[in-house]
Amino acid sequence: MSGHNIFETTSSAFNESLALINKVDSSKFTRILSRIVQKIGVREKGERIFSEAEEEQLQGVLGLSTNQLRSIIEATSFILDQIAYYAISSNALASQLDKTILAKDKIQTFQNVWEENAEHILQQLKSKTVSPMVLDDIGWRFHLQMSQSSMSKIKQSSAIFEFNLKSSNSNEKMLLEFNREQLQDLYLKLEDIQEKLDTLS
Amino acid sequence: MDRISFLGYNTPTEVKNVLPILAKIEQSYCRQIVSLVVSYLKAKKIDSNQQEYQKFNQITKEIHDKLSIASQQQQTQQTQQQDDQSSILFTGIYYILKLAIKTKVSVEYFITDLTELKIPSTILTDLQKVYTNIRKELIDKVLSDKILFPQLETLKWRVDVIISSSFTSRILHPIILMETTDTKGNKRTFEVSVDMFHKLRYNVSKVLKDMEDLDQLPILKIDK
Repeated sequence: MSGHNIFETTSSAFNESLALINKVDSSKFTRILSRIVQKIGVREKGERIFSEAEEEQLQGVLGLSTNQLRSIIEATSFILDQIAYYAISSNALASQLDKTILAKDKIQTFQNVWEENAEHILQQLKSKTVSPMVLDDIGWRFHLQMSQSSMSKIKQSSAIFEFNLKSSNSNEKMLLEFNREQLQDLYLKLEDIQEKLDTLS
Repeated sequence: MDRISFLGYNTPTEVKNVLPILAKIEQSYCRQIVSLVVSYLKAKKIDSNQQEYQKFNQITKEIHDKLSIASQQQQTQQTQQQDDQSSILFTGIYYILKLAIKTKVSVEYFITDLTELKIPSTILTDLQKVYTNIRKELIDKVLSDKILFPQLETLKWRVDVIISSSFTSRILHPIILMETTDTKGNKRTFEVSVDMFHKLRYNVSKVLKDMEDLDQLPILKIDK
């Protein structure tokens, strides 16, 4: 991966954006960067990183036009997306950015921010799923059945499991009741799965 | 000595009503009704699906038809009897057997309690035979036929290792896919992370352990 230039782009716009970044005050850029890095992997497509009001404020502080600010934000998130995708170390990051026209102090800023957030972000990205439904939580209740409308004096144990299934826009609860035998069956199946997982690690 | 009849403190009206009829009807007629009651008890189900439901409807219809015919036949023979005598008889015998199953009364007590009601001995012998024969089957049936949340019918699973995704190039994390079908026929496919899988496995084994511990308590002799 290190031989490959991950910021290689023929777009002159990207270089222009980098030139703009170079002009921004370092401490201000650190703050912008730490804000953008929070949104990596969490952001929905088309979602804004800064609200309109915030962008206006930033324009005032940095003395930039709307378009200039936009291109800074875009270039920065492009760099972060690439870093996250290739999951590169902060040293490799520095050598990659050295190949661009980005100034040394800004490269340092990227390195600092990445070092601080890499583990958290990568963990988040790795657990990102494309599956429509994900098991989110489990609850259960264990009880002893004593009687029912058609029969008195029963003593049967049973357990109700609640599977909380989360999808992107809704939560579904799946309730399943188990008697002892059924639960034992489930347990044996889970043991099978565990065995397969053990062979992986 | 203070044992209460399986019919309860007060004999139900449905059973009381049947006593005067039992005293004067023929044994063969009564046998017909008893066999109808047994087929009704065997067919009855709380949580029936469409097919079973239709079958059950058919059986009840047959019972209804036979009851009316039986009534008519009886009427021609003994005109002073009521039209709905067979229905009363059916209901009464149904109650006796239902309550016997409900309390799981032993055959001896079944006879003792019914003798106290002064049920004719010929009919009592028939009832005793029937009860001895169906007791176990019906108790099992009633125990398995109860209100339940859906149960797990099938569980299919798959263990994958994710290599990469559009978000990051190297993941190498195992992930479990499960497909469950419950007894209501609902199918669900969902993903389980390894952490969540451990949680599930831990909880299932914990409940299983609790069940086993409960079994060990001598005070609670669990029906298996």
